[in-house]
This record gives sequence, structure tokens and C-alpha cells, in this order.
Amino acid sequence: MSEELARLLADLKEAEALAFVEKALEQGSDPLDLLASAKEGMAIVGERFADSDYFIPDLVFSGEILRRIVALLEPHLKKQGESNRLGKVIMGTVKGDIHDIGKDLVVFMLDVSGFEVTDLGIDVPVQRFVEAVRETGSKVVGLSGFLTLAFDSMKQTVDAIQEAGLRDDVKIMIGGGQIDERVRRFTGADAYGKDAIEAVALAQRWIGG
Amino acid sequence: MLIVGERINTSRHAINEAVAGRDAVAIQREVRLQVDGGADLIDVNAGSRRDSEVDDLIWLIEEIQNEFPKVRLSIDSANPDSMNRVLDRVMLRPMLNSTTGERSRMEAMAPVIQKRACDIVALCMDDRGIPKTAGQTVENTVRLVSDLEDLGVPRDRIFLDPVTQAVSANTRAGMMALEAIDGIRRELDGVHIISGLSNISFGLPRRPLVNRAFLTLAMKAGLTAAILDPSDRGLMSALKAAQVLLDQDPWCQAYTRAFREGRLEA
Repeated sequence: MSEELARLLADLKEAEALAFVEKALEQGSDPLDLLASAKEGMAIVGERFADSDYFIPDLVFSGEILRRIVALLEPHLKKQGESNRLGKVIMGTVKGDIHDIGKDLVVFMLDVSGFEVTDLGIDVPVQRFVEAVRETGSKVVGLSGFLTLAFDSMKQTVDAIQEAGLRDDVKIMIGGGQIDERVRRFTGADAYGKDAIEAVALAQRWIGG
Repeated sequence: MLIVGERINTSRHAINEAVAGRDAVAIQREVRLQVDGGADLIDVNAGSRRDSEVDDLIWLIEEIQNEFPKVRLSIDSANPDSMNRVLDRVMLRPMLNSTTGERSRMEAMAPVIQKRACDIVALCMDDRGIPKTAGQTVENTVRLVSDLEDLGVPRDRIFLDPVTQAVSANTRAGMMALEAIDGIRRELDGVHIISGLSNISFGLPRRPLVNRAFLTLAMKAGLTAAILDPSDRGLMSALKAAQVLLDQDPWCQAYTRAFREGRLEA
């Protein structure tokens, strides 16, 4: 682990962080080790975000830096026969709701964190989620929604996954504007997250990372 | 500038309590605050109370009209059926907030729109979702206006909303909104252009500052109406100053009057 890289990423020092990675690779550092350090840096970003020291642009920027670090590491990881993609996650804003800011952030943060994300977009019909679970074999489904009426759609989506006999195969997380534990219980989802950082933490808890 | 006051929304805790407890005095106080701040219309939204939305809207409409018979109302609901059921209760010409270019939404809203003469807010999204470029926003609005005109709505009753997005998530969002407003103004004579202010600043600290800057830039681009909190003195002062600079306030009369009334805040 490199504390230096974690710190550079946490402080959003893009050029320095990328130069550090390039140099470390030249000197023969273990790319997996560097990846672990970068994730440590992202964890610090998450803490600062939770403390309202960092804001959404900082979060997006940190993700962008991580993406570039991963791009530098990727050829080296492949050489070792390591797949750097973690599990598969399906994301979408549920039927009747078109809000995409939060959903897009979650997709982005999951993606840069190494998950393979299928983004179904906005106003996604219930059956589209069911099909996507079948098609992709994803183990995590994220349902996003900002409007109150999204809660009904979330419940219908969870119910449809249940009726399709797929409920035991997937973990379902929900998130968006007013969502809390009461809404989670109403919808029958497994968990809810307050922001993109929490969504990534849930996916990591469920399917590794 | 036409000002639509946004405070009567049951997603706000205080409003939800007032509606649940049928506290007409609390609601009228909220309306007074907005009218005094310069609201031309009062937006009314009870969407968070799904099970009683229609009853709650009717109660709100009647209590507000009792006290403020000359203030127009904007009926704000995601549910066209709810709008349909409360529309007759509104005394002055209502604003409908809102329809979109999505086929199913427009079809569901058509009977509401044709029920009586209304102003109508139209969000510039269609079945492809929220536009990704200013050009696409303008294209969508051209089609929206043509659809609405087919339903018999004259242009000066159409309020196009370019659907601003959070600049925190995408730093191009501000320019995109401003270019869309400018594009709509050039392309479509006689329509209104309306925007809410809160989306743009989502995820940033000191959001009122960003809202204020956006409002004044958007006014230059061609915004003619805004959905906002008229009790926000800083915001309303910035609006009045912008009107002076944009030659929308002959002899600075609104500005100087606001000063004399102690309503300007630097």
C-alpha cells in the first residue's frame, strides 16, 4: 500500500497522482497494490463527502482521477491475468420518474470502483429490470427515484423480481430524494443508500471489492 | 418576469403538517409571505401525500382563494387525473405544472389542457429522456409548441421549461441551460420560458448564491418566468437589479420603489 497515492487522490491532486502511478509502475510496483491505495484514497474522499467538506463536483472529480489511474494500471493487471471488473450491477430510475442526477452519479461511482454496471436509464418499466437480471446475471439491482410515486414503482419492481423467481438471486438497493428506512420496508428492498458513496459501499459489501 | 412562488409544497415538512392538520392560517401566512415578496402566481403541490392528494389540493385551493381572491394559482402534480379533478375549483386562469413531450404524458394531459383556458408549463423532455444538448432541447420545444398549438393553446399561454440539470454533476449544465434558453427565444416567438432554480445548484454549498447567479444570467438569455421562493430577499433583489440592467424596469421604478419599501438587500 502507498499512503502517498491515497493522499494524492484524497486531495484531488490529479497530475501528481497520475505521475506517481506511472513512476511506481516503471519501478516495478505491484499494480494491485496501487489499486488498493487508490481505493483507500477514494474511501477518504467518501469520508470528506459525508462530512460536507467535499461536494458532488469533488466526488465526480475523484472518480475521474480514479478512472485515469485504473486506465494506467489496466495493461499491467491484464498481464497478470487479473480481471479488474468486480461483480455486475443493474441501475435504473424506476417507472414514472425521470430524475437522473443521483442515478448517474451512482452509475459513475460504481463504474470507477470497478463494477460492471448496466445502466437501464430513466423511467424504466418494471419488466425491463426483470429482463436485465435474467440477461446479465447481475447480483445487485439499484433502483433510483426522486418522486414520491417512485416508491410504488420500486415496490412493483421488487415484487416483479420476486414473481419471476429471481428475488433470492439478487440484492436490491434503493436511493433518491426522500428515501428512508420506512420506504425501504414498504418497497421490500434489501437496503437503501443516502448517496453514491453508500451505494458503492453496499455493492462492495454484497459482491466484493 | 413572471414569478411563481414555490413554497406551498407538502414535501416541505411545515407545509405537510399544515395540510395534515388543516391549518388554514399557516397556509395563508405562507401565501402572504410570497405575495409580499412579489409572487404573481402561487404554486400548489401536494404530491407527497399520494393517498389524499386531490382532497388536499382542493382544500389548499379553496383556503388560498378565500384569502387571496386576486392571486393566480399553479396546480403542480405528476398526476394528470389529480389535475383534472381539481381544475374546476380554481377561480382565476390556472397554470398547469406540467406536461412534457413524452407521448404518454402529453396524451394523459390533453383532456386537462382542453378542459379550460390555462397557462401550461411544458418540460422539454421527450421519450428519449432529458435532452443531452441545447440543440436537442430547442428541437423538443419546437415539437412541444406545435403539439400544444394543435390542442388549441395559444403561444402566450405556453411556458417552456428547458429542464436545467445540476452543474455539480456536469459542469456544462449551466451553459447548456443558458444556450437552450437563448435558442428557444430565437426559435419560438411569443412563448414564455420558465425555469425552476433549485436543480442547477444541487450538490453545491451555498446554493442560494448559485441560484441567484443563474437567475440573472438566464434572464439575459431570455427567461421570462421563474419558479422560486419569493420570500428570499437576496434572490428577489438580484432579480430587480438584473431587470434594471436588462432595461426591463423603466426609469428603475420597481428597483427604487423596492428600496424605499426596504425590500432591497445587498
